[in-house]
Amino acid sequence: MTPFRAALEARARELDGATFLVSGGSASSLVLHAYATLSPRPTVLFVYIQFQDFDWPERDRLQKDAAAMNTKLETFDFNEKQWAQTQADWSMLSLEQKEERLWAAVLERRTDSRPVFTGHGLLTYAREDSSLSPLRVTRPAASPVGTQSFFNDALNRALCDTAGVEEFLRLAKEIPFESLRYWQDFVFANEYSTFHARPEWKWKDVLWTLR
Amino acid sequence: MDTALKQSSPFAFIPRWTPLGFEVHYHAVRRAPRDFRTECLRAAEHIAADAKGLPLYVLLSGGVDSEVVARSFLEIGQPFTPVLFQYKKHRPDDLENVRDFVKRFGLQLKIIPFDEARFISEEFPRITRGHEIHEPFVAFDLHRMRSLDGYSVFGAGDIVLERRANGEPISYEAGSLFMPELLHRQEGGLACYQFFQSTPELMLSFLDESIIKCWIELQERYAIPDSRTFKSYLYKRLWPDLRLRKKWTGYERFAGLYFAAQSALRDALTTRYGAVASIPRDRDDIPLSQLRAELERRPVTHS
Repeated sequence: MTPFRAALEARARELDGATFLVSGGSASSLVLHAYATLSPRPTVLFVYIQFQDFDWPERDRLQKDAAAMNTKLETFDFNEKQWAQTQADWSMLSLEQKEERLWAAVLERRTDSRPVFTGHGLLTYAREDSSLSPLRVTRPAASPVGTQSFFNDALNRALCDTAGVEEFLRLAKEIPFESLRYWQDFVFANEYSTFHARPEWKWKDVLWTLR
Repeated sequence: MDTALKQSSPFAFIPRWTPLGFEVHYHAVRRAPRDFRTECLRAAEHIAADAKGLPLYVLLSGGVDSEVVARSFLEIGQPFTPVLFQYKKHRPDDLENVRDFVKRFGLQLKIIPFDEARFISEEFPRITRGHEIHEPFVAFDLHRMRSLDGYSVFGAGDIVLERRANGEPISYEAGSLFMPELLHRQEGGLACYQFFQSTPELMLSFLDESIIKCWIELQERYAIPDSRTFKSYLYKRLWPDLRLRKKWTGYERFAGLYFAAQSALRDALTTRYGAVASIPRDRDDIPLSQLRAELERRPVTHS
């Protein structure tokens, strides 16, 4: 077992008794994979946020993954278009502010008091411009208010030490990757053979459709 | 396939074409390919000559491929009209990408509204009737070609290298994408559907780019399913001011309708020809090594 996978599974054990909100993106799928390898499995309530007007071919992938791992996903329906219409100053907000509002709206509809985790906190690398300038580690996006990030410092350090990330940094001298975002999925697939790389970032896309 | 159509195709023809499969034959390169960007410009020159003075339309989707096509015509100084088919469920970022691009280069955008739901329910059955079409895109794009009174150029035909499983050869997606152009030419129209396969030199230059070789080297180790993103980074390296974007399949905006239409086409072909098992999806894929061998079949002479 690689140190990164060991760190992932140790962190997944800490989810015991919590709710994990899954978006269908790669971070949440990775968490699901880590959880499914544990024996005994911790008690985790996985909740999938089903947006109203979201018609991607990939939308069912996480549900298929969960079924293959014999893990139940609860579905939480959220009508994002109807909700966005209630946001008076919507067009004035930055993308980050919109994302914050969207999470807050989802979270306030919760009916239980379990601790809530999300797939936030994953470290990334990014460039400052479009050239082959050096990649720099960027601070992970903070988890929404009232939630905890699954990806913590220990996990991010283990990620940085993987052969896959080292390969990424080597490739980035020639290939103008703008961030680790694309490559990270292949690092994850190296840990779990059933992990599928995902071409889209669901939350950001939901926000695009709401502009 | 009639002889005239075979001869009109600049480098490839399809000698056997049935709903159950077809073969694509590539002409070999005639000269040593240059880098991919230079070959894009040469392809644009080749296409402009093929248009024989007809008004040239370059279709922009909001994705990177069609922007590279448009940039190629711009760089050779060939006038054209950029066209956007505006879907009912168009993604706002696609529209913004197109608008930003035409604004930046001072182009006048022609916008054609397109109701995809109405198209699939009303026009789609009419177009597919009589043609042995097994992909909805063929009907969509034939319709788009017919809508323009000139020579339309699509940013299709980008070379997609795909891995199957460990140890299996990399394959190359080809074939069915020729169909809209061939059907359109049969009707007397002119178009270039597959810009990125419009010359064998352009295809070979793509395969020789170091970023693509990098994908070939790494795909097995990291289980990278296809070369699409590496292609985008190749574009980015060659056109540094090109903005990368998240757009992959092109049909995600109406995926439900698309798959329903695809299923209906397959059902119709099954009724006509028998078991659906005999309509394989991958019949039009060929191994990468075969593609390269086809392209390099004749000795290369320097121009």
